[in-house]
Amino acid sequence: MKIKSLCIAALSFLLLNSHAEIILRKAETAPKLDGVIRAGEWPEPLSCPFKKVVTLEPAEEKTEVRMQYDREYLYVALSNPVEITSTSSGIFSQPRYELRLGKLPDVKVFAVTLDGRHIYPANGWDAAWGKGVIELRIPLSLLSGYRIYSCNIVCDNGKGASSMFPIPILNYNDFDSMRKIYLGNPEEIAAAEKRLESDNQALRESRMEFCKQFAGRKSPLIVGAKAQSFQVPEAWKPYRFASGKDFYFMFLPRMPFVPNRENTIPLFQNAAYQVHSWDLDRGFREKSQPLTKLLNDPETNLSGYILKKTSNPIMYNTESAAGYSLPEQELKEKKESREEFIRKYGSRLLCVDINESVGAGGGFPTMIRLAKLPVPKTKAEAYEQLRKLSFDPARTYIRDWAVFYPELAPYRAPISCTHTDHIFLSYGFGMAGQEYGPKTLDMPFAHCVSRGAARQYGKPMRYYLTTHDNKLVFPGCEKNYRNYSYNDYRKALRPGTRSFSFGIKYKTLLVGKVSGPQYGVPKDDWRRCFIYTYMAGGNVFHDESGHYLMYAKYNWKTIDREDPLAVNLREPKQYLSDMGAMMAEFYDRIVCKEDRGMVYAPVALMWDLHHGYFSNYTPIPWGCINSTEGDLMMHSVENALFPKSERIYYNRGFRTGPYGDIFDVITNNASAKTLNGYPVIFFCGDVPVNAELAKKLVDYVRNGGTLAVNWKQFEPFAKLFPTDFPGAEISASDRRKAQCSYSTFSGKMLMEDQMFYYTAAKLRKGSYAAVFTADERKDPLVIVSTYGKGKVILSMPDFLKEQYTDRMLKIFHDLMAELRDRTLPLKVKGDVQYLVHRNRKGWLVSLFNNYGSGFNRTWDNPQNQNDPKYDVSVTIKPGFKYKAVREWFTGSSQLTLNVPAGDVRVVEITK
Amino acid sequence: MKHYLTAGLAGLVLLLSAAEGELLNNPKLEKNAAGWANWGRKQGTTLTSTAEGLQVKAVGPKLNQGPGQTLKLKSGYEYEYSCRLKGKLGEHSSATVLSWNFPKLKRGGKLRQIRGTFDWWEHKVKFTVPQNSDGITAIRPVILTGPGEVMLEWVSVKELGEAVISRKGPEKKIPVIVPVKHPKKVIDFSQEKPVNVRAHVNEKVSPPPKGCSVENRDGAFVVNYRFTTAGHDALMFDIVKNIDSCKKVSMEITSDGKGHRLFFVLTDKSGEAHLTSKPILLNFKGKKNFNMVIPLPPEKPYNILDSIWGGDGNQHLDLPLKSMTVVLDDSPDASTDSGVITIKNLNIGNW
Repeated sequence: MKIKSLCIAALSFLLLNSHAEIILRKAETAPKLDGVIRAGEWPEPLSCPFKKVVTLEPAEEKTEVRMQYDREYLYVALSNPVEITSTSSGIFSQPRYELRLGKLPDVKVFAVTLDGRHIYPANGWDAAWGKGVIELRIPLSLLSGYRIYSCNIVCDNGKGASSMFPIPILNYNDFDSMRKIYLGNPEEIAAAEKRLESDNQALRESRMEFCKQFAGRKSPLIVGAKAQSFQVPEAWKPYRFASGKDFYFMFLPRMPFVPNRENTIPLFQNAAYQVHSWDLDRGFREKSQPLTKLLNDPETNLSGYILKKTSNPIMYNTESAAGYSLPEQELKEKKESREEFIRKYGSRLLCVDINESVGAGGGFPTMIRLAKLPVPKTKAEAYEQLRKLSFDPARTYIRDWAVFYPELAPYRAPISCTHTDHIFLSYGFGMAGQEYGPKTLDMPFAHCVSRGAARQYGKPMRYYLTTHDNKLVFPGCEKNYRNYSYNDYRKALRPGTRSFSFGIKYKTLLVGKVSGPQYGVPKDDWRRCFIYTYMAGGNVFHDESGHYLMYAKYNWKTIDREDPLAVNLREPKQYLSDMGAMMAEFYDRIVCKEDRGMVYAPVALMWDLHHGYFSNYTPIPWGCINSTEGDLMMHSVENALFPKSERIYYNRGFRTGPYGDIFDVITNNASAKTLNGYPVIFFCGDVPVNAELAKKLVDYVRNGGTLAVNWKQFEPFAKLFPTDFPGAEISASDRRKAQCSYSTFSGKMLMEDQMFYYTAAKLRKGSYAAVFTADERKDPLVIVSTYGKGKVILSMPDFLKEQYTDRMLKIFHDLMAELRDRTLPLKVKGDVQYLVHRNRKGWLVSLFNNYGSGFNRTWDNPQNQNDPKYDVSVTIKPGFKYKAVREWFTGSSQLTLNVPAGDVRVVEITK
Repeated sequence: MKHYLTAGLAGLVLLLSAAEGELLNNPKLEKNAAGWANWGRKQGTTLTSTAEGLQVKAVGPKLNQGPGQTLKLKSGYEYEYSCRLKGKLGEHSSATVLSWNFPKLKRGGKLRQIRGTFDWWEHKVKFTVPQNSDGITAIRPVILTGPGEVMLEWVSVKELGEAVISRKGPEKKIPVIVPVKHPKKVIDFSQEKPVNVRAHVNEKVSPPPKGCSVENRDGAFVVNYRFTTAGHDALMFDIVKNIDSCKKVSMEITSDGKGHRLFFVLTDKSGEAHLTSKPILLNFKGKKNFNMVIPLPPEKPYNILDSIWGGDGNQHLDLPLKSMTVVLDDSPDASTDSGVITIKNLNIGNW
């Protein structure tokens, strides 16, 4: 027995140096998950005392971590867990442990609160709390990789964070700080992994052999009449403001190029301007009577000038100085001023605008904590809480002090750096839109959400761009908490000027800041942003750094030839910067002269109105509700339609989707008119259906629409639909699993990375199994049936995704490719991001090459040339007769064209 | 009676705890701010106690200052600095709120600058006394520029404890700026010949316009200038000499008082040009002696300044200099003008 124990101890040895790998022991018997550590049940704790994040000082808590595994699970025991000392000042919204595990870069986070609730992900794994012990059991099937995982555990006790393996920077996902854990002997693992690969290969080959019998079997048309007609509803036309215009570039009046002043150009003459209480050079956001002060602003000031000497459209920013909680009594805005402002300028007022209304500073959970509201139990409850907070008469919970004043209420248009569009519009606010940027938010998806909301509610959409960069790191700043660089021309007399400084954030963390004309984002990346917003149907584009980068104190065309001494000594003048010139050229050549038409988005993703899908801020709905497989489907769909690519420099913002940007997001409260505009409606996530929506959907399909829905989404509401609506009879209890399927869309065998579960279905007469299991049962997995003039596409694998992960199945991808091909009037071949538009002359295709810009830039060469190696050849194949082809930027009349790295092309095909 | 005593005691405790840790003398600025200096007395700024607080009032158009107090604080410690005030300023006036300064380091900070009319508001900021400071800190809650009135109810400075600033590691790799060492010496230029006389005519490098000349006459550089265009014009010449010390410069200038500006450009060992950041203003008529530190901007890691160009591009003044350029720049650019400037006893070095 003693020898056996020694052997176990030897097997479970743990190396202590900082780069050591950790070999875990295999459990002889699975530990009981009950929050109690019994003798012999667990190995000795790992010798990895927790250290404070960043400072790396020993943590106050003395958490002990034990780990072991068996065939199916990884077991983790945390003993002496920390005590919650505060709930308000930690990094996370709730004090917790986060276990990070997986094969890099695919690391999964398992979060467990200290108060006995495991919160993320909600399903697929287990935890148990005991006295001073938390035990976790994680199925290995949830983890990417095979028995070798990178790992770290982070703890936040409400006051600060510590970690099992030292994290020297405030980035819990810092791969460098993770260590490898081995589930067994490394040599054995390598041999087993090889066997596994070989088994998979054998399975693949045998299934492919099996599928040969289906060769040539073609799927029938899977879309209804609407998709084949390529009609574009009126409601999709870009929103027109009272001025008759459908688009404004918007600027801060800090810029010298205000309308009707010297040097002005059409871009500035015709722009909208944001006037707000903190552009009056008073140095901070006014806390009291900002509107009164704005009205009194003399014409010699730029805000006063814009208001009193021009007739340009304006936005008024009502962002509160105190952020999320400013009481009215500190503002004391006069009624007479409000009335005067609306009387004089209401006709020019596009909206009162607020950005980051939900999200920054902790997001919705912080708001409800401030408001002392209970943690919502359902999404619908959270939705009503946000409504209450948005109209709270006492404080500015969404940062917007216009809430206090009825005169401003009709103009309120808060947006966020996440997907609050439909929610806010349903409260009666005035504009859709989001804050985004190369480093900020999935740009095409944000536009899909906002565009869908704008169309659903008949409102305009505005976009707020965050331009700065966070990738350029100067030598010695590698461990900084953040490194920002800005395209800032304001002080530069020459293009090469650079200003470097440090700041301190959260008292201790270093933030590096660099500004200069060559810093910030690559200029072509910035150009793609505003062109994308315009072409994607945006109505207002506002760059938050516009006043940094639109103008310069030198003429960028001649500065290279000028004497540096003369440049220093002459009195400064203002010129349009090279970035300003990019926008001005686009405005003159495209906005003023071309017809962008309307974006053709044939596939509507249908969400629950109460979704709380704030993917930029939180992985769980509303930041505080346990997520379901349906919620994970929303993440999975976004990842599948707009995947992150390592080939794109700013891959958080720029995405090249395999199916084009052909989607709008609508919600389950949409009108029949909205639904009927879309050739295809695809259910995404948990979407509650009531009798009214069911009727609208039945009518929609009957009239030629195509409804794609998963059984898991349809089942709870099946009784609301006619029995013959889905093309199959289904016994909910007949559950099966498979890994391979055959798709008649692509004519290919599809082998998933892991088993998926599905509900067996029996085809009704006239229905067709477009995808079925690649085995003798040939169970239908995607069923296409005709209903009236339309189609119902019913998929059977649970949410069409891998269980518990944020990845869709290959079956989803195959279906989506088919939908794209059947709903677009043309085909786009080439690895490029694209939008399709209908204008008065015919069809347009906007092509965005996100590759080849940014890479290889360095701190001392930040604006390197785009790499022509990443130029993309694109061929457009119209499925209709056409008269002429013209590319807007080059004048080319070819349908096969080169889109240079980082560049944009728009091809107009005249019918 | 017992209740009154208890309440009185509680009040006293509150009062004491409110004042606890206060470092300023007379934080409520009573008795016309006794214990505070009136830095703006010369400019006519008045400090008057009123029922609402201390009234700081100025009528002059430029920098009018305000109340100030000097504290000896601890190096490396963090402090909370706050005040409550309201104000009404003239159209082009401003009030700098909560400024502090470390005279030894010649640097400090401020919370914000306010213009217009502003209501009662409590302003608060934290600052840290740098490790290399002697701790002497000038506290100036309000600095008025232009005419206006500010009412200050109270000012407070409290110690928060040792500043926790994690600068471990990162800064080690950041280039360390090695200060330029200027040997103690005086280099006399009075016998040097002006060479490479040239001009800027409407921003372009050109030969000197007709009538322009520079010559060394009896140890003085006599500069006959003509600014001929409404754009930027300048006249300049070089003194070519190995210069191994250039911290200071001295000279006697005879000016025609037309308001033009005199700059120097130091061309270092590698040919990198360093333009002085502050000119000598020639707005006086007659003779005037100058003895000054050559105003070059502070060197900071990774910065690239507009005023430094050419050469090896290292943004560092590498001694010895190859030459010094004397530049007479028209001010304003629009002026078309002519005249004579004389620079006598031009010395450079470190003394």
